[in-house]
Order: sequence, then C-alpha cells, then structure tokens
Amino acid sequence: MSFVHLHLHTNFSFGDGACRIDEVVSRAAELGMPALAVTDHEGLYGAVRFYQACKAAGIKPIVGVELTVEPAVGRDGRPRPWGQVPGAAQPARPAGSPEAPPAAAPVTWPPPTGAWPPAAWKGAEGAMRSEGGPEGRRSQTEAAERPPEGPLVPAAPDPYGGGIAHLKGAATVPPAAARGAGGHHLVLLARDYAGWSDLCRIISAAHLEHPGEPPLARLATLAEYSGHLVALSACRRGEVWSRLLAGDPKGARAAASVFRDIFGRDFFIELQHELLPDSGAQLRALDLLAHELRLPTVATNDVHYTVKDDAPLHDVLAAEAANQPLPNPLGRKNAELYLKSPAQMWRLFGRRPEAFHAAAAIAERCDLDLGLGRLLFPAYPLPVGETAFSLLWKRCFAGAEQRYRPLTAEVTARLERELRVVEELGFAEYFLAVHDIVEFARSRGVYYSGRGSAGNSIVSYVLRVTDADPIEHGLLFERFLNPARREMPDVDIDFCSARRDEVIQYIYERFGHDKVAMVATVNTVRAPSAVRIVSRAFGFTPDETNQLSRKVPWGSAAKLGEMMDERPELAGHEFQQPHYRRLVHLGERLAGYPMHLGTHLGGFILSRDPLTDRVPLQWAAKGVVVAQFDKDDVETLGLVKMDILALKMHSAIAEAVRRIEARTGEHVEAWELPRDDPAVYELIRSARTVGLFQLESSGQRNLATRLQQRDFEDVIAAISLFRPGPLQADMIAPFIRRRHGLEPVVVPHPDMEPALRRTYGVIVYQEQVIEVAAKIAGFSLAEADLLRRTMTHERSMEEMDEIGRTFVEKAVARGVARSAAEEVFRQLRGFAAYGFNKAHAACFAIVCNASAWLKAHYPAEFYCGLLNNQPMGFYSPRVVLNDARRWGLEVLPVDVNRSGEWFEVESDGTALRVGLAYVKEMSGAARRAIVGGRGDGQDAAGGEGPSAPLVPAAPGDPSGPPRPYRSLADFVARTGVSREIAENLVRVGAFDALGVRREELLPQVPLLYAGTRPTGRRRGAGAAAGTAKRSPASSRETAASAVHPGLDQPRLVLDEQLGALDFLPSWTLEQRVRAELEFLGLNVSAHPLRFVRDQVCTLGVTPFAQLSQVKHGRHVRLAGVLERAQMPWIRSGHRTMFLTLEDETELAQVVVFNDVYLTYGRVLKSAIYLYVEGELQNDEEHGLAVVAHRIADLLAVLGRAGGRGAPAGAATQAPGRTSERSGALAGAPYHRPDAWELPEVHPQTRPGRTG
Amino acid sequence: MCNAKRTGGLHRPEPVAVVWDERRRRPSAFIWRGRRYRVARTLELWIVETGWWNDETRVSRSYSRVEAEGRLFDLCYDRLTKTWSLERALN
Repeated sequence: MSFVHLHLHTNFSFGDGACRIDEVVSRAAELGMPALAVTDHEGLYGAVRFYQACKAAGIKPIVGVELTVEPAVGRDGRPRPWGQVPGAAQPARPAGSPEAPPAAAPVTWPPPTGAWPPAAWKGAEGAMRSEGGPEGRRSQTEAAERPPEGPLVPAAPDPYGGGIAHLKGAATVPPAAARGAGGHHLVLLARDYAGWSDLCRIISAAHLEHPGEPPLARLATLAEYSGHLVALSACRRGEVWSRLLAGDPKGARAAASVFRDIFGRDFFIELQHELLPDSGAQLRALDLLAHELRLPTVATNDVHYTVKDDAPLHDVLAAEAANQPLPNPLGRKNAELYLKSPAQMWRLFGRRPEAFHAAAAIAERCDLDLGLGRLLFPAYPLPVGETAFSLLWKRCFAGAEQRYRPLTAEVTARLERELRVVEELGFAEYFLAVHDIVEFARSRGVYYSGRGSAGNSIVSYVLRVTDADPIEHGLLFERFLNPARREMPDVDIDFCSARRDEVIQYIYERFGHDKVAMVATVNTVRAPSAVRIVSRAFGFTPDETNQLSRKVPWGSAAKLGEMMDERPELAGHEFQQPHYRRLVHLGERLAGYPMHLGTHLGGFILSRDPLTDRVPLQWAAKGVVVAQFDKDDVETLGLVKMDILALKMHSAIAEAVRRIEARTGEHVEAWELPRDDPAVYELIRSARTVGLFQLESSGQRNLATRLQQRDFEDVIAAISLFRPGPLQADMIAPFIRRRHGLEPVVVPHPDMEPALRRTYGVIVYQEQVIEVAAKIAGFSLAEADLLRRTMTHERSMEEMDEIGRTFVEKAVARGVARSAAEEVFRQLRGFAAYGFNKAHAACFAIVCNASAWLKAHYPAEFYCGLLNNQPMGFYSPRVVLNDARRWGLEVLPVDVNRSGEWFEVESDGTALRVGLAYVKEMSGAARRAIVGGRGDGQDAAGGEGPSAPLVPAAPGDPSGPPRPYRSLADFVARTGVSREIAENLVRVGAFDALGVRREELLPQVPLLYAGTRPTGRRRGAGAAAGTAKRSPASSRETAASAVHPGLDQPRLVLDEQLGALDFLPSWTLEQRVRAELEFLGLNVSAHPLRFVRDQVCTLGVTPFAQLSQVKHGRHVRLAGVLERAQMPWIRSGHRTMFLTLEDETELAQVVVFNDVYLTYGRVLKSAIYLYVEGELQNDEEHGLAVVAHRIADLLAVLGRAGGRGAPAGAATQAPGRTSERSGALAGAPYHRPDAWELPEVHPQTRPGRTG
Repeated sequence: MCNAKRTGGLHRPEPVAVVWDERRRRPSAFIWRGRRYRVARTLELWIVETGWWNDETRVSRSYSRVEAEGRLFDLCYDRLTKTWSLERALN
C-alpha cells in the first residue's frame, strides 16, 4: 500500500510551514514512501535542497509550488476569460463569456519584443496590459525564444533592469487590489524538467507582474505553461474548496471546470481529511463535485510539520507571519497536518481508495531530473572565425606579454598548461566573460581587484582579473581549478564601491537583462531572533520581548539553553526562570529556520538562456530582481555566479590617487607600486596601521609588533595568520617563535623544506598542504588537492585513519621513512582544515601594499580617501582623524568659506579640512548649495564624495568670481539651508573665521528663520525634509525670490546690527569639543581625555605612546576611550577579548582573558572611558599589549559618577557608526557606545581638592 | 456551552464507559446512564488539540460521532485525562 504526500510545506514557506527539509525527507524514507513532494508557498525556495535531500535519501523528489492564482470565476459566478485582471476595466470585451477560447486572450508574458523587463512587470500599472500580444501558444513560445529586440536597457537607466519605480507603482495600489482581489491557492507539480521550467516561468511572472503580497499568477500564464504540470485544487483557500465553504457550489464547479480546461486530465480535486468537525461533510461535498465534473481526486494531508510534536513550531511561525500572538491566527484546531504514514492515510481515505491511490500514481508520473552536475555558462559573443578557446588563448598571451617582460619559458609553459585545463573543462567562455567585465572596469578607471582562489591562476593574472603573480608567490593552479573535478570556478572581484553600479549596469547590458539576476541569501533564525519570535507569539509586550532578546548573543539558536548556562552576561537573565523554559525550548527548535529572503551583497547569476527557464525570480528590496535561490542552490544547478562585491577601500584608494594627481601631478598606479618600499614595511612594523587594508585591526596591529614584517611575503603571512582557521590551529605562536629563533625550525622530511621555508616549517597555506602531499606521497598536484579537500571536511576518525594509511603507504613506497611519513600526515591532518588560501591573501596584500604606500607617502590624501568613504574599516572616523593628527597632519575645522563637501587636503598636503558632509543633518543638496554658492570651484578639486555625482549646485554660479559668505545672514540667504544645518554649522565653528563668535551667532539663527516659511524650493536646497510642504503658491513665490529665498530683506544685515551680544561668555574648549562630538562625530579641537588629563595623571597611568618603552612584564595602568571590543575566537572553551583603547597619544591593545572578563565584563557594556590595570607584554614573542587584571569605568575611578545625566546636548551620534555584527565581531556581546559624553569634571569633586 | 438543545438534552458532558475496538480503532459500544449502546457505525471523527502554550488552555481530545440504537452520539476521549465522556446525544 503505497502513498505519497503531494502537498507539503517546508519551513521555506516562510511562516506557513515548519518541516525541516532533511527531517521530513528522512521521515518519508523511513515510512517507506517512494517519493515526496515539496509545495512551498509562492516559490521554489527550498526546492533545490529538497531535491538533493531526496536524492541522498533514495526517494524520488517531486517539486511543486502552492501558488496564489487570480480567481477563475468572476463575481457573476461564471468563468472569467483568461488573461483578464481582477479589477481592471475591460470595456471592449464582452464580460466573461465562458466559451471564450483561451487562445484569444491577450497574453503578455513573456514579452514578445521590446524592453526587458516587460512592461507587464512594472507594478500595478502593468495590470493594464497591452493588447498586442501574439496569438496562440505556439507563437508565444517562439517569441520567448527570440532574443528581445529593441533597446536592452529599460527606459529608466536602472542597472537592475526595473528599478524601484515598480515598487512605488505598486505602493499606490490599494492593498486590497494588491492582494489580488482574493487570489486562491493552487498546487502545481512539475512532471519533468520542462515542468520545472514552467514552474519557474509561472512563479517569476506571478512575482514580477504582481509585486504585492502575495504574488498573483494569471490564468493565462498557467494556460501557457501547463503542459508539463499536474495541478491540485489545494486547501480550503483553493478556489474550489473556498467557494464550497462560502456556499457557492455553482462557482466551485465553474472554477474547477476552468482548471480542467487549462490542465485537462492533470487537474485533480484535492481531498484533505484534517480531522476537523466538518471534515466529513467537506469531503463529501468535494467528492460530489468531482463526481459531477468527472474529475479525478487525490488525497493529501497538506503537510506542515514532520511529526505531531512539531505542531507548536508551526503555530509559532504562523503567529509571527500574521504578527499576532497565539492562539493561532489561522484558527488551527488540531495538530493533524503532519507527515502521516500510508497506514494512517489509508485509515482516513479507506472509503475513497481512488483518491488514496491517485497520490502514488501521480508521483509515478512525475520524474524530475534537474541535471545536476552540468555547468551552464553564459554565452560570450565571438568574432567570426574564433572559438572561445582561440580567443581566450590570444587574450591570455597578449596579457602575458604585458605582465611578464621578458616572457619566459616558465610563464608560457604554465599558461599553456592552465589553458589546456580550461579548454578541457570547457571554461573558456566563462573566462572571456570575466575578462570582459574587468576590462570594462579598467577602461572606465573603476578600481577593482580579484580575490580568492582565482589568484592561483596565471590565466586570471594575465587577464588582469587578479594582480598577484602566481609564479612569484608559488601559487598553485590546482587549488583554483582541479582538472579532476569539473566544478564551477569561483571568481570574486571587489570593485570600488562608489562606482560598482557602473559595472553592474554594464553586466546587465552586456549579457542581457533577462539573463542576469542577483543571488538571494536566506536569512535564518539566530538566537536573538528565535527569542523574539517565540516571545511575540506568546503575546509578550514589545518591551518585554526586547528585554528578553537584547542580551542574547548572536549565536545559533540551537545553543540557547547552553548559552543560558554558560555566558556570564546572561547569569542574571530572566531566562533562568522556569517560566521561560518553554520559550527557550521552542526557540532552540527554530534554529536555522529560514526567516526571509535577502539579496546577496554582490552575487550575480549570468545565464546563457533566459533565466526564467531555470530559476524563479522575484523582486527584492530596492527594486532588484533576485533569484529564489541562494548561492549554493545556484551552484548546485550549475549556473554561473559571479561575486561583484563593493569595497570601500578601493574607493578610498581611488580618491587618494585622484587627489595626489590633482595636487602634485604625480600619477600613481596603485596596484603596480613597488612591493619592497622600506617606508611601507617600517610603517607596518610600527603597528601604526590605522586605515591600512587588512592590517589595521587590533589583532593585526598586535601581530605586527610580533611578526615585524620585512617584505611582501611577510604581509601575505600576516593576512593569513590572523584568521579563524590559523588562530584555531594556533599557528601564530610557533611561527613567531621560529621566526625569532626561539625554537628550531624542523620539518619531518627534507622534501618539505622548499614548500615550508618561508613559513618556518609551519603549514599556513592551503597551497602548502597540496605541495607537501605531492612531494612526500608522490601525488600529482590535482590529486593532492583532492586529498586536501577530503581532509578539510569533517571526517570520522576511521575515515581519517584510512586516508592516513594510504598516504603513508604511498610515501613509504617512495622511500620515505615510515615514522617521517606518519609525522607528515599528522601535521597535514592538523592543518589541512585550518590553512588559509595564499592566493587570496596575496591578492589582499597588493591592496594592503597600496594603502600602506599611500599612508607612508601621501598621508593627507590617504586620510581624505578614508574619511570620505566612511563607514569602512575597523575604526570610527573619529579615531581615523585622531590618527591623522598623530601622523602629523593638522586638522582644520569646518569653515563655510573653506570646507568642501568632503574632507579636503590643505597647506600643500600637511593639513586636513573637515568636510561639510560630517555636519549633522547635512544633506547632499545643502552641501552642494554651500560649496556652489561660493563660486570658488572648491568642489571640483577632487572632493567627489563616495557616490555623489558632481551636480552643479542650485544657487550661485560656480563659474563666476569667488563670492565668499560675508555673514551668517548672507550665508543663509544665498544657500537657503535649513535652520538645523545653519545652527549645527555655527555650533561647530564654521563661521568663526567671519569674525563673529559662535556664541553670538547662535541666538541669531532663529531670528533669521523667523520670517521664513518652509518652501518647496528650500527643500530642494537641503532643508530638512518633512518641514517642507509644497503648495502652488509657495513654489511661485520661491521662483520669484530665488536670491533671497523666503527671507525678509531687513534681516539680511541682522548680525551686523546685533552687536550687543558680546556679553555672552565664550564657550570653553570643553564645550567646543562637546559640540564637535555631537554635531560632527569627531573631536577637532582636542581629545576628549584632554579634560581629565591632570586627574588621569594622578592615577599613575602610562600614556599609550610610551608603552613600547616600558619593559615586558611590568604592571601598568591605562586610561582610554574604548574604541572597539572584539571577541574573535574561543579557544579551548575560554573567551579571549581584545579591547582597543585610545588616549591622547596612541591606540593601545588590551587582552582580556576569561576570568577577568567574567569579573569585569559588565563594565564594558556601559562605560565609554575605561581604566585598566594589567601586565604589559612587550617582546618579540608577545608583541605589545596589556593583559588586563582589572577593568573599571574611568569616570567612577575619578570619583565622578555624575556623567550619566549629562545635558541633553551631550549625547552624540557619531556618523558612520554602523552596528557591524559580522565577521570577527560575531559573538561579541558588546556594542560600542553610540552616545558620547565628555568626562566631566566638577571642581568640588576633584580628588586633588577634596580634603 | 451547555446549550441543552444543541447537546440533545445533555446539560454537561457526562462520563461514559466505552468498549474500544482496537482493530478498527473505533468505539464498538458504550454505557451511558446505566444502559449499554452498541455502536452501529462511526460517522465522523475529529480531533481538537490546541492551547499547548499554557497548561490551563491545553486541550487534546478526539471525538467520534457514532450511530447507536438509532440515535447520534458524540463521544469524546480526553487524551490528557484519559477519560471518555458523552458530549452530545442528538435526536
């Protein structure tokens, strides 16, 4: 008795399904089912994983979808002609003649001609479809295969082939209409690959044509792509059943007959026995309907959870999706929607054997082969007479001649060898496509650099995809492309983030808008979100929910219980109460559940055929078309994915280079700079590496003091060593000890020596694993790479031992002593999984070298680049600016007559002028108005912001003679900026140079704005949005008063007339710094610790700049601003935390070990200023750091706890502070404070003066 | 809840003893108010199982609508208390 579940929701139904794919598949196999179907809502999100899981479990995967379809029956109860849109006016056609043949209906998807995406996708307006669609199914299919004619670029110059306009269009539609005027569910199953393609096309059309929630499939689309599908009438929300429930059996019959017309014998009435009170009656009604229309029936269980015990998970997810607390908003009364066994299903459907048996029969007819393992490369247009390979060959050798002078036999031999593999694997077109993209970037001067294992290839190097010479650095092609494994090559390229959109636009145009889409990411439930979801379901208040979830670390939800037991910061947590046990338990079971679909940062799919033949597409935020698959799924399907990433460092370097050329005329080729410049290595060794690519983190700065980099290889090593793998395998300590001769360099076998010489016998790189295995056991490099891959994955002891035996036998056969071979294997085994890809590090090292060179030789331009491309890097702009000051650059305050939109270099490269962009509330339009209004062409000097195009400013004439602002009133009148901006400029001293004190100007600002009405024009010039209300009258008025927008004439001379404010006391330096911190996020006039310098000195602290002169092992005291806290890894269960502190003189690194963290960790949550006592490490082995023994809030130590209730103005948001919670920071319980306050000193509490 | 009309004269569920046919997984007879009713057939089965998030709201019952002695009865098995009751006696 065989039964197959054909209606099943995994947790990829996002809120309406709780089956874990692996669990439900193995349960089906356990129950002896020959096949299993997945039918998630509105997409194939989980389909690829499901397909793989089924294949692995040995059962047949059936892929389908439960889609929302427009109503088949109109309000008049008669079948609607297909292709008609609910709510759309259709005057010409006689409304709803049931006999209307489907072929006569206009069908506009896919678009026969014209722009991509088709007009029909443009949101709700697209609902008004053109009538000129081709007739009949056949011609449409042909049309679909024709490449789109006409302009490839959509009307709006939007790189994403659509743009946000669609979403805006959709937003204008009333929600009811967007909700499809009552679409109904329909289950569609793919019978074969053609059916898969049909599903992709139908789902894509439903999403792209109907961007509302939920998407809506048109009947016409179904009709067009119904040939390889099986349709089931779905659940109570299917049209047939819902009409029965609504007491409309006639309508139900009409709907069923529409689907019968579309799907013919492949349409089934679905029978679900949910064991609800009315189930018997419902089944009888459905049965009767099927009988009347002679439609076949099929039994399903609308599976939503694998086992009954998982029903609560489904309830919780449904509550979250409905944004309502339990009880279940869907009114679920029982827990019967689980994967029932064939016997259980028979018990429910024994009286309806035909429906029971139909399930297995349908499954029998479905046979989907996704053809995994094939690779689908994008087409590359070739000149006549060339093959992809011949063209690639020519381009590679042309590139090699430029890269290698003179071209050596070694180079040509390697190039030929690699090209042969590329040819064998059939990757030539792919490389041409990559080359095409980077050539475009190069031709436009867009900075980029390839990264990752592509750097192992000389082909990438000569095509200028990557910049590290693989021969010079001993990089192995086999690590990138293994001839023994035909695997999709993975090329990742970082582009200048300010100009990446140009590249993306080009990719869409070059490869076709219908053949490019972005890769999705699946955001999954982590510990804090699990707590939030369950708390909300339980009906806790938002406050309570936040309270509960806030302190939960960003770990796996599966460890929720464990965290409660172990993490010290959760020791007093509410969760410890038994009341929350149920919550914790449920939260744990939600671990890893997909929450929603996101867009990959830079992953693009490039396809040969229209993507919708293979992949379902939908809108993502920002109007981007995104696949329903993540990068793994895309790779599994064999589609080409390319990472077009955005890197701010490239923007910073590009800006620095541009500025250097503008000031000095020197042209810098950033990637071609010498790699042996002593100034670069001196800088790195000094550990003053703030701003350097990859070497600026506190960990790297500490490593620099230990490693003492001398050459480029050392930089590659440093980049590789401070990584999770090498850190976990503890490679740094032996590396450092051996480098400084503290322990001998030994290798088990002399043959290893060449490969490991540069790393002192320590296996750091994956390339070394390959080389050593090849040398010792006589593997080919390809075989050795396979061995490395094998050892990288988690293996059981037995498997590892087996691999080891083979390795040792092979080595012994070559004459290697058994003991040596065993030791070599032991080392490989220990490091294979932790080694770092040297090619990746080498690619990074080149960017690092450029950043270091720029900092060493053109610090002003370099810091400008950094500060104008925030947020980026490890430190806040405040610390970067302080670092610039420590580097000897003068920092000049904001000045309305001198500041550019961004930071500018002044005084021939010795000073930095704070840019207007840093002023709080400043908008791009206001910046441009201010700079443009001066007419001195300041903005053209290269101060091009991160992404701001140089648009002529609104008022003023940039080409005219300079017209500096003469007064505040003059400034306000000419720029028309908002009052907030004017006030903030005054507060940070931007008018100081005009000769009137800011203390006197500040009270004038309200007067200047007293006579103004917020107008549309001022809004355009940067007034704060929201205060401006457009009206016809005001826009007329502003046109008339373009010179003095909205200001009364007499007030123009206000500040000249009001001279009597000189009694106002001048701000203290402290007040000025406070204003700077608050309104710039920077300290320009002085460091915040300046104001407690004397008091801090009495504590006996060592200024950070002097730490390097203090002897190793000495007890020291530190006082500093907490800049960053990192908890990069947990070794042997013990947390080690790294704090970066800043004082007036330098940055310092503090190491906090587990026990100290447990005792003092709480201080880190609240304090900005820290006082640390500890032991100084200062030698070659340990580098420069302080191991904390005691940590305290500096303000408390100074005897002033009064800082908390600081004046309202003292709380500051520093710009560019994003809550980075990725990478090394993950797991850190600490957030950097966003609120600034100065360490306040009240005279009566000064320690020196108290008696 | 205790709509006497709806529940066929029952003012509240009354405990019954049920003879369970394990092979067919159906009640085969029950004793109500001292009288034995032989179940002729089972017409409907349904299950109510909800309120799991709170011990006070938690419900787990399975119902059988049976025909016995020419009348319709709704028998209820409470899985939490493991007891049978008669919820309704119709017509």
